[in-house]
Amino acid sequence: MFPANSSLISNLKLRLSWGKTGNQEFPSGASLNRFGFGQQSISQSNYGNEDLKWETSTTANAGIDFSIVNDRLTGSIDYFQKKTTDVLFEQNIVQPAPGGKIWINLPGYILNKGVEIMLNAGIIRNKALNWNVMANASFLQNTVSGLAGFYETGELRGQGFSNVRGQRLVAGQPLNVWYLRRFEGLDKATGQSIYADGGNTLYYSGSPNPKMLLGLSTDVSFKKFTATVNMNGTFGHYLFNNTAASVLGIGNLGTRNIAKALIGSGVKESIANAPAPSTRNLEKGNYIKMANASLGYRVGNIGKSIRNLYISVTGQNLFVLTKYTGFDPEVNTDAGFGGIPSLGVEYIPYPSARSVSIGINFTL
Amino acid sequence: MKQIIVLLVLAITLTFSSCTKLDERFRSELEQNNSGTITPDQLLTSAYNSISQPFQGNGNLWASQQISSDEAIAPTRGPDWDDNGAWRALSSHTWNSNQDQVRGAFNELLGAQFAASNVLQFNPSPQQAAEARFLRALSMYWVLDGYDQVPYREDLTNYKILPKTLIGLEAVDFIVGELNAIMGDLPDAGAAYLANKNGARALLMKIYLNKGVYANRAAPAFDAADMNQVITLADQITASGKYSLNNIFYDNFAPDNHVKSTENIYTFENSPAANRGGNVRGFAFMVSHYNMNPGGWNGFSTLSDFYDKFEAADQRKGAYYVYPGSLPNPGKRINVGFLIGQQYNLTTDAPLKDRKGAPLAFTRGVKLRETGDDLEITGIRPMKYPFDYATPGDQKNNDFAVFRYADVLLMKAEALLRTSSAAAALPIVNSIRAKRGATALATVDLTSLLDERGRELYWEGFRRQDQIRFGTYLLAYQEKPASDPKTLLFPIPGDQLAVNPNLTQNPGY
Repeated sequence: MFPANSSLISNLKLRLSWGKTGNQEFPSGASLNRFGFGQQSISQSNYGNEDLKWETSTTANAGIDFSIVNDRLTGSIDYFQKKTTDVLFEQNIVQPAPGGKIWINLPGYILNKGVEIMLNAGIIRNKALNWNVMANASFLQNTVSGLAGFYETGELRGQGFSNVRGQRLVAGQPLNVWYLRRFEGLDKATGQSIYADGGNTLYYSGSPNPKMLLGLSTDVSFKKFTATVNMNGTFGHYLFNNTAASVLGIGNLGTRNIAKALIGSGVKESIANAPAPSTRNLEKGNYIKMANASLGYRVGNIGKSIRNLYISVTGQNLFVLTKYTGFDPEVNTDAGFGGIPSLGVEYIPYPSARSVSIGINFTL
Repeated sequence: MKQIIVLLVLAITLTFSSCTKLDERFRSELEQNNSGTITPDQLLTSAYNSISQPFQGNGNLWASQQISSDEAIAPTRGPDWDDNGAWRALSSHTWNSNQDQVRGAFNELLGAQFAASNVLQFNPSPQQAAEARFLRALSMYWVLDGYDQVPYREDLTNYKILPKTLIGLEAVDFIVGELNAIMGDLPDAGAAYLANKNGARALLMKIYLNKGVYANRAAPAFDAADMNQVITLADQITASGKYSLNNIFYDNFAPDNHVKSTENIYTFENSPAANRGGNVRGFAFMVSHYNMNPGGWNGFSTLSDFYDKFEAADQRKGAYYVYPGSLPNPGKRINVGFLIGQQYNLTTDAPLKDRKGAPLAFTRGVKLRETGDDLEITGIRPMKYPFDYATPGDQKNNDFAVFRYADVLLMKAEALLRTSSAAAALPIVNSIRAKRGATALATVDLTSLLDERGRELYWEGFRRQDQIRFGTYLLAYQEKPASDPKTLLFPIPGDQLAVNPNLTQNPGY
């Protein structure tokens, strides 16, 4: 029994969609044997793969849109799933071979799925005062299958970090999963780092992919005042603070800056302790950021020449709530390796700017 | 309705016309079908360049052969050289199938095999084909030595045809057959950096000498017939009359060694002028401290137990060496060989300091993990390739010695020793010692011969192989506990194991 004349529900809609799209993102010449020029020499650069074809993404989506209480509360809930097959990927080639890799269509798939919820509430609506609150949240999950072996990326940097890659693409783990030594604190006697299995074993150590993205915004208008606030947040992922690991290490003591966190703890860290790549510098990246906020006042006309005068103050990036110790948790320094992008590495990025602007608008 | 059909036909036509074969044109590369302009000499040059990379500086093959031995150590110095434990794993024999240098060496050597094989696809002359097959044999021999399984791609036309895997003695037979087949087409004379008959003979000697190891690494037995092959080949090299021991040991490694060395049988050419070069400067950079000239990476050292094997007057231990472009060195300080104790500015003779202001004096002691105040200066530093100050830039002129006559003589002595002819081996060993300024030995046995090989050939890339052949690789020695017998072989790198079903992981990994 559908409540056709319900006073509570003014709109209820079910959406279902399904689609297939192709993608042919491989570099020019990937299907041909190519030869490159060196110093008075020529060498074969690759093996071409004549069988390369498009990768296919199949997207399915199911959603409900609703609007209740005289349209005071509207929103939608969506479940989506995107399965990419014949994934175009530059796989390690069987040696002996030219170059290290060959473009193929992976025999497995990449699966992205998640739920997206959006709510929009008109909390107060009358002539003088209007107040709306909007919120949206996405919950994401991705997995990869069919990869032969593993592929490294997330090239970490600094002294003692040569040829260190902190992330992997590997079947059965999230994309770009962290793969690091496990830090178990400092030795009280020597001030040296302690690692699980003496540092000889690396472990899968969490995902740089957020589990949840959150957006919150609200706007209020009261007579001639208007105010808007937008916030966003990301949760459930791990970032590698490469800046702290290799630029602010204890070895700098006496010559350069060190990270604040290194002093004042119970154990005195040895100045000779290697700032080795490990979970020590892997941090939760959860944050909520005040992306922007603005306040305006509509003055109206002044005299005969100034019309529609509007004064406003807008702030961008006003504050961040996070336990992440780097500059900015909203970070992604490029640390790709072998053509595979990285995710969630912070290495001496420019901090994002905080700005406040004042606006005066009018027409003559 | 008609209009719809017209549109449909149009759409189909458009679709099909866009699906015809795409004719890609490359500005900076050549396509296979367009490769009429490629000549075999251009590919051969690439093959020479390709194989020279893994050996030099702290290259992957060099590191896996040397850092895993009792001649070298790559200590973690506080914040430096941690590199995810890669170097410690090499020194302590605790690597796994993802070890950086072990994996890199495998892939680089096989890449070099491909580059050499590819020359054969482009109508080379008999000599060019022989040179390419020599380079291929050299790369396959090192894969055999480290990993036992040698992927060999016979048909280069299609990547889907998997390479077959030659295992152990199967690979020995293949490489020996190749070298014998090309011997007639290799040149007799010419520069040491071109593949030549005596280079092929030296490589055959290495294979025959180690054949017992390739049959059974844990308990090698040395067949008299193989040892006789070693002796015969050494005599053929001697009979060519081209080689003699240098009076000055370091002439073999100097920037002008292509002129001065009378010992180098086969080298990799390093020449900025000819645009040829591997990372030979790395031999200086990997040992020298930041405050020295050249300012290096302050890394690798030797172990004091190894250093103590030298007599004081042995020029291989260290020397004051003047060569074209060397610094004035007014104090006549030791500038080649093993650097130990206070180091000096080789221009002004002022004593050098480390970054903390303490005297830059290299110590005998060294640990795998340095944590003390002296972590910058521990360890004795070998400087085997005199630094080419005269040549700006990263490419230097010192050719890299792959096979030397002194090695040929020591291999012959070893073959004699292993066929119970110690009396004949002794004068050979003593002839080398006399040239180097060391006293004559009264007797020679396997232990003293391994020591002599170390003194003569340190840091030239053979120590792991030698230690395995002499049975000392698994033993405990300075800064290394006894190691697992599985480490006689390197693991097959995981990335290749995942894609090549013709490989199986070596036992124990």
